[in-house]
Amino acid sequence: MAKEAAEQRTQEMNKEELNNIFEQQLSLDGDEERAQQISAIKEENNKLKQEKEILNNKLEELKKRAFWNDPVMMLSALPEKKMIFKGLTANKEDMSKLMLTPLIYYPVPGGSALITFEEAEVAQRIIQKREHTVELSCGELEELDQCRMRVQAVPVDILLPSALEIRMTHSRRSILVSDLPDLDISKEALLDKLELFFSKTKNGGSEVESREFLENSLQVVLTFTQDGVAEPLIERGHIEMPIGKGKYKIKISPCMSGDISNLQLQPSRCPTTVLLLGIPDVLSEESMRDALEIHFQKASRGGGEVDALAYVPAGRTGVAEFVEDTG
Amino acid sequence: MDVPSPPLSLQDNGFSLVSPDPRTSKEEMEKLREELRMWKNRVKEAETVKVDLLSKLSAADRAEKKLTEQREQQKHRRDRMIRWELELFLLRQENTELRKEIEKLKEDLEEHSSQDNLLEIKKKVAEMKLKFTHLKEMKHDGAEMDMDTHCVFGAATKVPFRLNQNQALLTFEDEEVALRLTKRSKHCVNLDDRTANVTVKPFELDMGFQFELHVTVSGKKINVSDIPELPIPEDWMRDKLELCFYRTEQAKGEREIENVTYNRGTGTAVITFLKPGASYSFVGYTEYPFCAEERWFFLSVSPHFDFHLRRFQPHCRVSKKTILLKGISDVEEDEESVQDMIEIHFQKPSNGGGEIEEIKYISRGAAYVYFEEDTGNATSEITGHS
Repeated sequence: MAKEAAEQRTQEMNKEELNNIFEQQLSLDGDEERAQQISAIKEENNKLKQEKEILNNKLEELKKRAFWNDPVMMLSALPEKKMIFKGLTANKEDMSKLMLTPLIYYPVPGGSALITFEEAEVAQRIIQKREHTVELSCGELEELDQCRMRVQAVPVDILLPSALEIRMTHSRRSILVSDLPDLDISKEALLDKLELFFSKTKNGGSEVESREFLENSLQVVLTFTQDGVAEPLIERGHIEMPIGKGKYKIKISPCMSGDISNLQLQPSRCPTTVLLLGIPDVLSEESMRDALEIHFQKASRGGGEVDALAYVPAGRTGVAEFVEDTG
Repeated sequence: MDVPSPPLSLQDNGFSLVSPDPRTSKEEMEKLREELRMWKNRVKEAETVKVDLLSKLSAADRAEKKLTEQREQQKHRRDRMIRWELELFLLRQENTELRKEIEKLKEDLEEHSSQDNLLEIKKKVAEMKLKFTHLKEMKHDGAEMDMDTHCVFGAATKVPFRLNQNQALLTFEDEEVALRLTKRSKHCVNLDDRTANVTVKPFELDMGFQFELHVTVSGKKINVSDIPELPIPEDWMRDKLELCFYRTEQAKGEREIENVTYNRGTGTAVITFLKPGASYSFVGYTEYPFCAEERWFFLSVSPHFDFHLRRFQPHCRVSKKTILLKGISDVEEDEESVQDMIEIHFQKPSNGGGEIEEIKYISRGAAYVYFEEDTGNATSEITGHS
């Protein structure tokens, strides 16, 4: 009996042992998996730490170049332009937009004419009517044989910029000098004095590669032969320069150049200008011009006061100037 | 330990001390020897059973020990698991943290380097209305007329500014006066029955630029894009495009094509018409139908133009003679009389003021005005009014 009991007991324990071995195997795999997971994450974390370090360094670098990253500093480094309020009112829509003054040279084909009316309504009416029969007084002929011509009135759509993107870069080796005094010395002489002044290291300068006046201004661009000269001078912002008997405080700004990275055009319809097409070459240039003007000024014909008119005979081409209609 | 059968008492076995009787016969001796052998066997058997039992017992003991060991191991394992789970959890947390920090750093870098591209100007252009003024020149047809439109856009010098309610703009004749008032910043203005504490705020006009934008719009070419990629040779595609564009409902020959350049990779093409001026018939159209492989597509059309920037100069706009007044409290008095009172106050040298050239006060809503370039003229350059 004792023997059986002992045997049974052993059997049971063997079973349990087997189970445990099985479980152990499972969890060993689990262990292995766990261990792998842990080491994988540890590795990943190390990589992330490295990445963080690199990014941090980059950020520090950028922050160090404080000058170009502080919009206030950069703005104040630029040459000044004085603005004043003189009572002019604006449109709400224009608030954040770039304002341009246009000058367009538009090609006019032969056998056509351009008319600008004083009133936009008149122009609209003329365009809407589209076909117009214009009386031509042919001079020598009797009144019964008056000539007529049929012309078409169409609107003028001109492509204008609707959006603009400019990328500014600053020349590393150049400075823009402004607030120069208006003295009684020639421009060349002033350029020489500037070059001499900025070539001296005691003034923070170095060898000057080139110097020239900016078009139509009292500002001078100086370019150095080496790097690292322009930036500290720009950061300084101002410098006292002796010219002749006096000392003058001049401003040092970065030299910026701009490149267009994007330009979008949109057609804009002229409110007061009409293009007439299909004008036959039957009269002299002047006579035709007069005939057109007379016809389109008549209120009875739906016309109105004419501001400008030009006729291009067939066989020729014209270039018309368009400017802003400030109405 | 359980032994199967009760112990045999010596007595029961019938053992008793007997002195050897010579008369005992050989038989009896044999019988006794036999009995002894039997008992010796029995003892051996019992011993075997005992050994067997003992080994089974020790096996059971071992098994038990093993089990205990295993249970111990299991416990260790569980503890280890818990430790590892914890470690994993912490590592995962660290991981998430690091990722977040890296995201933030990337954002900061983006911001900083895009500030570097504060050097990038992105602006919408204010609408312009044009009118024809005069003919610049007239050429004979024999002359090479490209029929291009040549445009020059200058950056306007007027700056829009928004004046909010209870604010006023004052333009002084003398820069010094404006500077003095700005330095003092706080002023007490007499308004009829009470006083108003107004502050002079320094201006923040932004960066301005000067430039000349030259644009030339082609009279002969148009750009086409969004051309679908079809399984036909490039050459044939080019022909199809030409066929598509040369047809016109109106004047014959208007759209005869001189050349088509087609880029399959980008899905774009440039169509050059024979007749100068043909491109203008596309002004205002953004799409054009195209039929190929028995399917219809819509191609995008746009003007073909060149541009470049000249005389680009950014500058910092400053206001030396115009000041901004804030904090003129809201009253029922009409705008005009308040404006007058402000003007009177700031004209007096005793108040630090001086000759005023222009004033604008808003009590409600907002007003939009332009700042113009200070060229020293008292009148507005743009409209000629002062």
